[in-house]
Amino acid sequence: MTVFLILSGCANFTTVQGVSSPFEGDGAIAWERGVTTKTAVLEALGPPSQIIALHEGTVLYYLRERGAGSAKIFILYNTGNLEVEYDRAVFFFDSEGILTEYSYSKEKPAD
Amino acid sequence: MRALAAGFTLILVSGCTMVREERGITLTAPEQTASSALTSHEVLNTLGPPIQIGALDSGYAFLYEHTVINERQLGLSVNTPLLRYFKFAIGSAEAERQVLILLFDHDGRLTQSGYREWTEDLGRGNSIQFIIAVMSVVDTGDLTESPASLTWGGGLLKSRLPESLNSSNSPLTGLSGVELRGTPTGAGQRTLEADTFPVIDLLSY
Repeated sequence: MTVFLILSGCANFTTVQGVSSPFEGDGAIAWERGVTTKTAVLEALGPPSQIIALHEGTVLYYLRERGAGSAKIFILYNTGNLEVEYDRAVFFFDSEGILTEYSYSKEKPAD
Repeated sequence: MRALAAGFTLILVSGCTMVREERGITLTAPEQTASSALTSHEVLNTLGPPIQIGALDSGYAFLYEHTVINERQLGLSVNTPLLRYFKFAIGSAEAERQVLILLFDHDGRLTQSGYREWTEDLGRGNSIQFIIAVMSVVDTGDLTESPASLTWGGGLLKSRLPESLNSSNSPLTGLSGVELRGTPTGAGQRTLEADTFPVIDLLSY
């Protein structure tokens, strides 16, 4: 029993991967459909995670992966848990580079 | 009988372990969205950005995925001076999956949609671990990879020649559709990337 108590323990960890652009809740910038340009978005948010060429336009996709994990070790019963969430922002532009659509993810960003 | 009792005292159940991993976008009322939304604007307002966007000849596609992996393990150890600090872990895992795919035409009008949720058996595994370790023994790597968007630039410069040659057809680039997590490369539009062509693979070295 003493060995079990000595060897018991717990651990927590977090991971972050992806762009650090402001997502909703971080103070996201208000964009205007039909007015905002691709240049303005790139200047404000920096390089996106991915650029997708559509038939008539371009998509800028920003992604940040946030993982939070924990482990509890009691020898006789152990648990490990990892939750990974994705902060996302997507911007659709027409062939002239004018914003036609945009959206931010709904999840609450990390503190 | 005495030998059996001795066996039981030698082999100890050293404990059980539960490993849980959750990834993706929690979908709220995906079936209603799939059946009632008319445009990409409505979908983005309701569900937010998808986890993958892929261009298609007829328009573009959104893919939303949510995966919860649950793995249960039983640990056995042998009560001898050295081996009691190690355990033989036997585990099995299953995944609860939710997938929503939406196809739009060039004007952003929803043309087709599909939603499915299911529980998938991920198989079994075993390993010898230090007795205080908590780690997965079932290979779930194909369901726990980070989205391709995070490695998009590097994804165009794969060191394996078959993957580089096939990049224009790969759904991971966003230029050619989308792909569910866990899809094997041995079939479909990534067939040429599979490891089943040793002669082609040799050319990449």
